[in-house]
Amino acid sequence: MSIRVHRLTKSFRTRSKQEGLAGSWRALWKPEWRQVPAIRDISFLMERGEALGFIGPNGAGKSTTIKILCGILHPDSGAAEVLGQVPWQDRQRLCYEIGSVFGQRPQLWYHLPPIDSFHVYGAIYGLDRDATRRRVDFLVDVFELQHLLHTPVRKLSLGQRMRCEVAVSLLHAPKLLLLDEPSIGLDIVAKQRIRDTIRYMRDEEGVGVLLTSHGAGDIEALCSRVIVISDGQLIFDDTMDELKRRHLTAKQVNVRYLEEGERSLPMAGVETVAASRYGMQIRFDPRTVGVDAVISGLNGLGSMVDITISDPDLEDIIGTIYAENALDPDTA
Amino acid sequence: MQRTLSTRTLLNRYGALFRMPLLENLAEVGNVVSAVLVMTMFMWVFAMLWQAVFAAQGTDLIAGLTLKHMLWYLLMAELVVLSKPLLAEEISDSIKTGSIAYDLMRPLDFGLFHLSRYAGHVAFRACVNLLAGGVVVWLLVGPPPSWQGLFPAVLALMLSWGLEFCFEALIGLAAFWTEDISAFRWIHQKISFILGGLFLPLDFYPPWLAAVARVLPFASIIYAPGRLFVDPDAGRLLSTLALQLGWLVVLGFAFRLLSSRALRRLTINGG
Repeated sequence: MSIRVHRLTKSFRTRSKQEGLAGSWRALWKPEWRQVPAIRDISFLMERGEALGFIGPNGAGKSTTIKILCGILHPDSGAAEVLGQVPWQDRQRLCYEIGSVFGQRPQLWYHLPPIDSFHVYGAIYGLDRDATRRRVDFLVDVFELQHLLHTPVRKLSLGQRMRCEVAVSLLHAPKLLLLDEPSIGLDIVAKQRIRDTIRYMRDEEGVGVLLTSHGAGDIEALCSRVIVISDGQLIFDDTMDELKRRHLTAKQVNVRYLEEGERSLPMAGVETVAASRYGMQIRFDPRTVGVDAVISGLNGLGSMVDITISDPDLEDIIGTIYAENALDPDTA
Repeated sequence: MQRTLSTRTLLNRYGALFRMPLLENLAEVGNVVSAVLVMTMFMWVFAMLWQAVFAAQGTDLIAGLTLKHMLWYLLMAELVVLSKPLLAEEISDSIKTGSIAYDLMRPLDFGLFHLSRYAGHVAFRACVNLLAGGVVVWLLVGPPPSWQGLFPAVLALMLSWGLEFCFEALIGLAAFWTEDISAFRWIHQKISFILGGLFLPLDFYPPWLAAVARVLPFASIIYAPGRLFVDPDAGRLLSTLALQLGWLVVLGFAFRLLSSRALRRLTINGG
């Protein structure tokens, strides 16, 4: 077992203040502290070499969970074990076996080319120069960093920099990689490249990946299992296929027409979300209604100038999962 | 998995961190050039100023110092202040942005991690500043009063920077409790400048103030190495080093205490 988490709970203490000047004055002399729960009663298991995705909106408690698993935060209650160690007790030993990328906080030296950072981290993790060089050669190959290695980090694009960041986090051959929002702000191509290399490393070295994201894309591409947390609580823990089967069912279509007119598509299984004189938004389940039938139906309404077909937003999915949970008192 | 670390591993580890600021300085030549310009300009202004003062007084000796003593002293004092990195801001930024999480996720000691990088920066900048300021002072008033002061001064300078490291780190760690550390930075800087003798050696102060200032750590940082350099004798060397070491123990202990409390606070209350 790679990670074992049992009923983990953590809240933060923040100072609360009444509104206005009088409130500020009172808070100055008699601060009122409020406990804000970050995560509540979270339990899950992660196998060695598994790729587990953690999704949830901002502030759901993803980063708090990751920080507890790194040993940077103590939980208020509950137990956790990472690679057989209690993270907040054995952080210094554990850090040899974990690699991490925390969003866009840089770990590379900004004014220097990445190769210098690779060597310094090699020395920090106790690799000798030859071992570092061999490992760097391997990572350069996998992450295609040949042309980036000798360029100062500040001159790299965000996508190039993130490839170097993920590569350097794998320098000491960790058994577990913690990635907190690794693709935030990247364009589609750069995202795809990062995902491909992470998948390659997972298959090649069996490194476990725990990935948080507020979008479903990364998780869908990399993880076989997914955990959804919202408001500090675990509301879904199952395979990616199951999530898709249950919740990623609807397709959404936005269409715009050249001429003005009344718009409606009276087809069984197609729901009109919004309609105007020049366009409409509809939703349907592709398992019951054929995509081609819907498109030809829309085409029959006039000459189209624009059409987009998309999956529902993650927020919508979480909304439906959350609604289901609220109805079921055992899991809410 | 228990790891026992050899001395060699530790030396490699912190040696590599020491090297990074050297590389950074070499990569950012513009910063180094502007630092050299500042040093050169300061020493030139000081030289003009004190030449005028000595000329107006019509004497060779003020408060027991000649013009030559005065300028070589000021060079050393400026060297201490101008060669150090902005460690307090570095630490407070890492706390504010949360990148301190990375520092804690490494097999590194928090104090040694910062100390090794601080030392690397100081080593580079001090050499460059000494060269630039030294050339100016030499051209204007001639060589140092004695070469015997060089080794004691270098020794005292290293302890100075050790003390300054503690102050800076303490100020940076204050970011755990307060949003903005600039007030602490400002107060520390002004007190250092005055009680440390940055613009005027303590010899010029009223005797009671000089006596008080001399035993405070600020003088151990700024005043001591320069005064030792222009006027080396065994007694001064011993008292200087003893005082510096004493303060280093006190401030080093304060740093250890505060950093362990700060990190405990972080892990319990979160960032």
